[in-house]
Amino acid sequence: MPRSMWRGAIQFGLVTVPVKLYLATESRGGLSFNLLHRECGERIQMKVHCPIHGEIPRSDTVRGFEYSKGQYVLIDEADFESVPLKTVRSIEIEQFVDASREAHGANFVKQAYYLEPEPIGRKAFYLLKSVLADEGLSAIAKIVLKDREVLAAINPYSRTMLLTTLYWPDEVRGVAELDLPEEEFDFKPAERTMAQQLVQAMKGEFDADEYKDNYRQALMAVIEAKVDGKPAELPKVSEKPTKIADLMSVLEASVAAARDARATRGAGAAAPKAASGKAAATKSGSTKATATKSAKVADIGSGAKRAARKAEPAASAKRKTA
Amino acid sequence: MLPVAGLAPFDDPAWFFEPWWPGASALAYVEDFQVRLQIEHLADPMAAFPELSAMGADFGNDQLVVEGSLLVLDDEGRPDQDLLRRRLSEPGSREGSPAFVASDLLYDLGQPLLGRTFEERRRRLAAVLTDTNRCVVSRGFRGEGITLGEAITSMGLTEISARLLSARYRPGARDESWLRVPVVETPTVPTRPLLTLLQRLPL
Repeated sequence: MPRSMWRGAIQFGLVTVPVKLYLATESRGGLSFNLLHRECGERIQMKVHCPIHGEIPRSDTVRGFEYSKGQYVLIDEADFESVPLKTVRSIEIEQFVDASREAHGANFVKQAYYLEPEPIGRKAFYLLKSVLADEGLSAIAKIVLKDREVLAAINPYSRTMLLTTLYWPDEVRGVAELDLPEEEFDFKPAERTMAQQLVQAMKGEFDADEYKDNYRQALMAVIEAKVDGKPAELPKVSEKPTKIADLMSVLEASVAAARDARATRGAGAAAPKAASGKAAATKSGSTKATATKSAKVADIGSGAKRAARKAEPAASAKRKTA
Repeated sequence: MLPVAGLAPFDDPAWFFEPWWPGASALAYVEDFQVRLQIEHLADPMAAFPELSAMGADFGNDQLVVEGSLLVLDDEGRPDQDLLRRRLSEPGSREGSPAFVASDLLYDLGQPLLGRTFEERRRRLAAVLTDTNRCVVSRGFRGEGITLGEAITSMGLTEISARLLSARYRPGARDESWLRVPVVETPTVPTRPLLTLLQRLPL
């Protein structure tokens, strides 16, 4: 069982429901790295440095608030203690709002916590949950976490309720800075139907297990391979020649394979057109590489597919260039 | 002679296609079976490639000027641009194994071939140079640009060189008879059932 990070009570009206709070998520998005000196591999140190006095101990630092450019007011511990703050361990529900409406700002969430009712308050807890679920409501509450008052929303979730801390309205940026169109769009009924069909076809139950953080997994594989002393596997190269002559053999083999693949595809496509002119032209092949292969040129897929893939059909160089 | 950027691989029997080897374009001057290299405006970089110093012996004739690519292969035989850069920038670097891939012959026995067609120059080149472990004639394919483009992607290469077989050599000029063509990988088609619908949407 994980440790609860907060203990207190939900308060609404005259009802008090004692609960515990657990972090609902853990952050594992970015792998973190340490900076080492390239030469010796030692961890580098971040020293506290004053431009006038050079290196100073961290204990000689104070906090300053920049109230205008280059002007600081010093804030010490006593000032922090004098801030009037409720220390009551309570989740005070201020109001209930329609959970499906987007306007109340509950979209901008910071962190999710699970609520766990203490045994004595279980009945009231589930009563609150079932009312929220039935009415489609969210509870908006204030809670003091880590000496700071935060805004939160409480919603039914699975067999418990989820408390998500929210950004204060003044922390949420407006959409006015974005380049959004003024005009309203008219959609033809056919367009709307088509979009609806598409959405219907791709509709499904959201199952978070289907989604994986691929970048993290790939990076982890690279790190594990390095720890094991193996060089990370490079993608995309199937053959491993060791000499330049081998590289040429690999090239010839790849071209032969690509030819076969195209011939197979070409046979399945449209009827081949007469290619006698091309075959005649290739007979005068220049190097030994082409001389051996030239006879096959006429055989390879000359169907519609091949013609379609040609960037520019003309013989002039000009039209093939950018 | 310098290439012009091309659009996409194409098939045309009047053209000759070879991979664009990821290395440095170089001219090799063979005189008394001694080789001098020239990479765009650089002094002879042969000191960085001692493995190639004896490659004059690979040529059947003397008094040659050969155009090609200077490559450095990694342990698995793949051309590696980083190794090449390291060779050129750090004196004493001996990583990888260098190789010269010849693609054109400009002078043979002291006689200029610049007025001859590429087809003829290539034929002379193949007759003059015997493949060894350090020096080879680039493999090319007439008329099969698309096939070659498909083949090289499996080797990790990304560009092909297309040359008009009937073209003369124009020293120093950027010429449309030589194209440097990127091989665009065909994106895999996602298997959504209504992809065609999506494409018809007025998005």
